[in-house]
Amino acid sequence: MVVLYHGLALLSLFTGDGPPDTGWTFYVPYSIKTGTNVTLAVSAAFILGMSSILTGINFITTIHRMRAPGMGWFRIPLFVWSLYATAWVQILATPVLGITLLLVIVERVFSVGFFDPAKGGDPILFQHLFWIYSHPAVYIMILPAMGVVTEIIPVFSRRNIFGYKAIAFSSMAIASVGYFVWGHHMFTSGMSDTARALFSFITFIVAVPSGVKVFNWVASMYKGSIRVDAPLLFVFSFIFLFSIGGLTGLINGALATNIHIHGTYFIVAHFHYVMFGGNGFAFLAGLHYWFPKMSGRLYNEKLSKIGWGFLFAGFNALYFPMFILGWQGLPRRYYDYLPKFQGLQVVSTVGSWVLVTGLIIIFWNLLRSVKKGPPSGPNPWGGTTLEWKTGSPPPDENFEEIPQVTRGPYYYREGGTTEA
Amino acid sequence: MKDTVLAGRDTAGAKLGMWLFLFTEILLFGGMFLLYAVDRAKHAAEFHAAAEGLNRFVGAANTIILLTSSLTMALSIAELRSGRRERSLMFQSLTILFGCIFLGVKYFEWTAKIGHGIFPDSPELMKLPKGQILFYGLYFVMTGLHGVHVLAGIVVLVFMLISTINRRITHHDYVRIENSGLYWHLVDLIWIFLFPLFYLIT
Repeated sequence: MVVLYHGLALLSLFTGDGPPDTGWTFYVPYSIKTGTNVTLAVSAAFILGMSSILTGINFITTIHRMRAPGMGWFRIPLFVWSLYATAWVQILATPVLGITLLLVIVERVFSVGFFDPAKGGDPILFQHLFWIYSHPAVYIMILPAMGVVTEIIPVFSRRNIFGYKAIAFSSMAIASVGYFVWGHHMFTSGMSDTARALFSFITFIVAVPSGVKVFNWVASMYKGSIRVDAPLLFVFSFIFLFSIGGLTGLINGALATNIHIHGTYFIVAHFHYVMFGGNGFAFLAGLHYWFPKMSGRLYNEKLSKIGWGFLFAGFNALYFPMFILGWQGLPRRYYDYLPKFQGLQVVSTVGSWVLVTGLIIIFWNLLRSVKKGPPSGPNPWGGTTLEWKTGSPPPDENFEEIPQVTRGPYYYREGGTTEA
Repeated sequence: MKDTVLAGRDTAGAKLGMWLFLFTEILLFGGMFLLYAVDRAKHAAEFHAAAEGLNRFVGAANTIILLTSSLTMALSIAELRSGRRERSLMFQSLTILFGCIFLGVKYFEWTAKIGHGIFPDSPELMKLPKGQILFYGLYFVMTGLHGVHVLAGIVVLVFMLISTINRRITHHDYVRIENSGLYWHLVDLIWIFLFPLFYLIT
């Protein structure tokens, strides 16, 4: 299905009357009126949505039915808890996007008029339906990232995770509360004051479980035997950048400030701090952490740290100025700007070059190490979760014999030694 | 748990997955019911007036047909579990037949409306008040989406029938037809909501 999606999405760029020009939100009325190839692009997104739903169903069923013997609900690694929460968001939110996209096609083909005021419809309804999915979608992206971070911290600080249940339940809390905040994307679209106040309040509530996680991560490292290898370096930058992204999210979520910064670079900066600073860095952390497990080889530690240095510096140079630019009123989605914004735009542009340099170093290092890295052995980090108990890369069906689980996933003895 | 998994078929898992899939179907229709709720709240009187244009007798007949098909579906599974394969095959065929009759009735209802010039964006419809335009828009899209689901259900049931004839579904191994039955009941259930919302609100 993912292949089909990419095929159709690519096809939509080159067929019909030109590539879709609606932006990623497919907002009506333009997406219904434009002559470009929106129908094909929307069909592609619909198919991708179906594959997302089926993945969610698969993960939930697997986690319920196929845990290793002895693995009770509170012996599951927290990465799996985060995937469980993600899967629920996938199956509960994505169908709403499905029907929304279908309606765009229906309107383009039959002109029914659900979103057309001339026929009694209302374009704001489209925005509601769209954001009912598309806000929870950011939790689909960030929850697994949080899970990766939770896996890496105990291993590189030789400590059991602090607050296992709090982290597990905060994932579920994000998944459930995250459903009811979509209105904060539409504060300036036309909504009653009551609705706006409620959505703003719930937006503040949904920040709490993320805060719970950040405090638990930091507390897990307290008195730990911390070794700042590449995966932990990426995790540190995740916590730092995600905190900036999260706290500026509250500035967006507050009604008064939202009016000032709505549709400006401030939003762009916030989004990238959460999605790239958060999601992207956690992805790279996970890629480095599980690289030996996947390939059976080690990457060059020094090179990965140099790559990280470029990435981190470039990232902040690229995106931090956008907070300031947005606060000064620079709107997003325009290619031109007033001369007074020139200085910070240059900083931002140079930052993007540094960032790309970092990415090239990181991926060059990893790709080269798939073939040429020194063998890693089954467990180079001293990890205690099950995947480190088997070979690297794992044999067919993962384990020689099915492991029996007798304790929690992150068990490190006092004094920093590893339990075999 | 372990045994069922290792035996190659985890029937409880298969059913769990099916129930989750049914949730997603409800949410898919949920978007449409949301539109319906908003539009009807805005245009209550015009919705009531427009519902006069639908034939309540035909709608009720179709409801009975679909409900009966759910009964025959359940009976076919019960018979299969008791090992009465021939009776199960008969009830499965009846279910498929009722599904086809439902779609046939729907076809005549739609063509009658279209014959009177009532279809999305038609000049005749555009003369009506906005609430009525929305009502018929929702009517065609929601019953259309439901009809597609009935059609999909029929295709699935035909496959189940063939599998039962080929003895790939037996009274030992019938989770696939059980899941197909769950889907069929859901399609029935959605119609139970569509029928009063379109036909009975006059």
